[in-house]
Amino acid sequence: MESSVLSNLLFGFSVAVKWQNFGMMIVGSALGTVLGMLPGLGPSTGIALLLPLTFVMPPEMALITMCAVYYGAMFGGSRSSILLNIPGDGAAVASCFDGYPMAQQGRAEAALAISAIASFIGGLISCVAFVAIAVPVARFALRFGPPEYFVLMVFALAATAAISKEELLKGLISMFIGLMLTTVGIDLQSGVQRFTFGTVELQSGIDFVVVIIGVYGLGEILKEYQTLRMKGETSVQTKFGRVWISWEDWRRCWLPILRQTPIGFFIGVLPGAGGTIAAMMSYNNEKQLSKHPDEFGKGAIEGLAAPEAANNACSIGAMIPMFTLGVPGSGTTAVMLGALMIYGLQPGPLLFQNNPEIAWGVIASLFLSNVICAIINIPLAGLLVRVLAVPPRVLYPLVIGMAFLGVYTINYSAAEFVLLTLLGLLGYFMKCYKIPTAPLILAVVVGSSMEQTFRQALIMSDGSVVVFFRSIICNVLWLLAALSIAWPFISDWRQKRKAAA
Amino acid sequence: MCKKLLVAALLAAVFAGVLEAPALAAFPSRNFECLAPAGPGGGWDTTMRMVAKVLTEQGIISRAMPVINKPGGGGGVALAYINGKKDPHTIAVYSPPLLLINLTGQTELSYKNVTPLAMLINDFGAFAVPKDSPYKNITDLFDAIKKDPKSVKLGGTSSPGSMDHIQFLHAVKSAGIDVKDIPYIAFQGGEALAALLGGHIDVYTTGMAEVVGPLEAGDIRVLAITSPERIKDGPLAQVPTLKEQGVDAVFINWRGIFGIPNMPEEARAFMEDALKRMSETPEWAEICARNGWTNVFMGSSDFSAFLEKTNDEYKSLLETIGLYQQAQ
Amino acid sequence: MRRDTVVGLFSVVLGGLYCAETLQIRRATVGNPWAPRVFPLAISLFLIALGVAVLIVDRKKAALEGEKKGLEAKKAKDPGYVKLIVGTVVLCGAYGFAFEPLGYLLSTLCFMFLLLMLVNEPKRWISNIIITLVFTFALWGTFVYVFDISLPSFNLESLNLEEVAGWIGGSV
Repeated sequence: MESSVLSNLLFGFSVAVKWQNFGMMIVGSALGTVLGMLPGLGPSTGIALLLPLTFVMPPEMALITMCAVYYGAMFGGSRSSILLNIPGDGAAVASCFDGYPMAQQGRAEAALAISAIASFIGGLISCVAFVAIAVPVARFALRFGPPEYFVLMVFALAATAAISKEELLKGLISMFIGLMLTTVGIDLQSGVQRFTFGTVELQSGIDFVVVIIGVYGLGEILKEYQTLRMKGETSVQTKFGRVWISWEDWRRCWLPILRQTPIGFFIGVLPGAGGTIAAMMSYNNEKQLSKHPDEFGKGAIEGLAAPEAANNACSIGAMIPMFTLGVPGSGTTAVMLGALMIYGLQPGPLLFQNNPEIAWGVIASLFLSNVICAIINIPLAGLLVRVLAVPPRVLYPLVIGMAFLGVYTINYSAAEFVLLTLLGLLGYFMKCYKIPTAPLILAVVVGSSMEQTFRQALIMSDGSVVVFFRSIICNVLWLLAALSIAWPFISDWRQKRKAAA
Repeated sequence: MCKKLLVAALLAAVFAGVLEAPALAAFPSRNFECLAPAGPGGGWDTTMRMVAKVLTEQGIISRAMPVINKPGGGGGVALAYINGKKDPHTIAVYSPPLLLINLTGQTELSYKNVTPLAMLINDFGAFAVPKDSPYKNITDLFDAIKKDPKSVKLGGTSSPGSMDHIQFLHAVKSAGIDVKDIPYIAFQGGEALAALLGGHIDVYTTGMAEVVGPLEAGDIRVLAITSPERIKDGPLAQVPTLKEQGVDAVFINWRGIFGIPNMPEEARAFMEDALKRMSETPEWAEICARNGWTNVFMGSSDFSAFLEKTNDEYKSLLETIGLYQQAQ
Repeated sequence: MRRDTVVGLFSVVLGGLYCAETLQIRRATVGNPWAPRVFPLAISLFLIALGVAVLIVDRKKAALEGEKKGLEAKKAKDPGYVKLIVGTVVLCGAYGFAFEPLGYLLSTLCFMFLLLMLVNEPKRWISNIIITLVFTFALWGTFVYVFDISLPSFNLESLNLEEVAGWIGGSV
């Protein structure tokens, strides 16, 4: 068995290193990195946009290019999180928490480096895991039905809301505002319109990317206006170091990277959960496990490394259900699956028998893209970091302009501009009144599936709530959710006891 | 004052000049926007992508035709979107849900709010169960429903009262069974298939294209298809029709391409002709064969008449099931 | 008012408004007619409850540390920031309405220039013009030629010609 996997993988590499494929991998990785950096343009938009271009290529080359774009976008997504506090997409939100403080402290080079390194390691481990345990993991993931997904979302939200115990109440308020935003639009289970106020634009709901860019990006800029004219030019960074990390940084990061990668990988395999959940959960988990949780949010390098590793692991994991079962594991893989079908290829386990050059070629290309992205990103970061030399009074208008254009590409409608502005004001208000914004973002990402899975489960059980305790998975997740709320209090109590002793 | 008037008149003239120019340009004058009213990977998405692919690859249309997914509300979101468009470069694929979402009261918009361009294909529904399901054929399944309607959890990729749901109820009703209490769970994208493979739902009602992959891989069993006759080749050839199993029901999933409301005649004629030429290419025939679709071209005016007739049929079906409702 | 008093009141009011709006939701025609309301209703109740909880905690703190303490020493702010915020918000809103009828190029040129004049101050008008031009055309090139995304061009349909004519006539 092992030897056949190895020989298949070698065969895959022989497909992937053909010069055309390899060339497209480099182009795709570079393009993906650029796409990921622009606010609003995430991997799935990127791939959907590039779809027509790939029609002229043979299928394996097209898939390899798409994977490279996907991968590049995951690498690039955190650049603007770190440098501007504006996440490129949902999965990069957690990278703001410690990445931006690091940049403000003049450690942008280290932040960009660790983000690329953690992404690389997380991706590499997941590639190996993909080859070794794809099928059993995918089969296990199928045991997640609507009730399990619902409890998983509850767990993810509980962990994020509980992230700071001083602000627990305000964190919960933030979370419920986020959930509120997801109830806008036509309801899937009944087709009824909710909170659309008679407008066509709101029928499709509020896209979470608009919320992220509004609350985080625009809100942040409006808040910064308060002191813009007073800082003068002193806040601009003029000297830049090498984009690399110190030995001390690495010593703090290697363990978080290794232990958060499996979490990200498994979340990725679940068809109903994505990169945002993976990154947020690994951040929370790392904060709980850390010896100095109080440094998190203030520029702790492991607080950046953990979500970066998890989010790239997640993007590899998301390809597993597509390849092994023919089920798309995320928005991005759904677009890829559609592309496979256009080529007349049937995604699923038979792909390995009928078209091994595609299946194994793509898997091998994941390894190579991972390396290429890491190589592209380190020198690119050296260039990008210079954005910090631009004075804010010029930078902010440029960022606002880019944000609007990114938002336009979501639904090809400028109606969202007004929404973006309103959400920017909401973000400003929240920042002024010290309401944490992270729970809102996660709630916006998971809210809609949380409600839908809740109601799907209730239809399944004919209205009985016992269904939410039907399996071991459910109960374990409930336990984890309860633990993550109790954790800050437990660790507090332990510290007090230690202090007393 | 006079000067002001002159400036205003000049401005108006300049504006009018700028404004006039694109209107005279021949259709298509820019890239298209092809709407798939559902998430990627489903029947609408596949159809729209195939149409866009053949149209551009065969050089029938020289402009780019990017496909944009606008999921939600069983297609209602995309319908509202295209209904608000004024530029004729937006087209969409639709099928029975176009009529159904209106008849179930989900939207006041209907087939009258779009311009039918051409019907392209007929497709049929499929009812699938997990490979280890106790139901071996449609009779087993219907017996179980007859005994206890709540014992069978039905899942599909569209909101209740829409096609996936209705095609199953139509079959059950045709077998003389009360359909009131069958629970239906709406999913998005590939989630319904994952739920079936994981055993979280008992039956998956969907289109034929969606079941081919997992059927070939042996992960699911397809109990019946809703076509009048068996499919000639491919893995679906072994699947019996409803009629063969004693249920006198057929459900056609017609699919066609639609334009914006009150589409300019020039643009409508261009698109109808382009689609006709596309439907005659061997590439299109091959795609149809591969997906098990029946290639049936129907022009704009016939299609409009067909829609009117079909709308009445669906209406009476929904009335007997108790789902008919006027939009408020 | 203390900061948390505002937060608590905001949450209660928001929850209340949302709750009122929830009760307006149409009954579902399929399945349980109340199903679409359950989740929003739960959210609104939680929002109200959490708002009340924040208020209670805040009152306790206020009793302990005095009404004024919660305001804490404010960071020094630039007195002109309100102008910046209001100006940006107004420009952003206007951009949204102008984007489709005026097309990308025209609306973005205006928007960026005005925004830069506001934030980067009018005295740097030369650099503002240069930045506006470079930004607008660079992004336009990237989107249209690299990513193949079509951006709106000057669109006559969205402009009501009669309205424009009436406006011109009215100004005489």
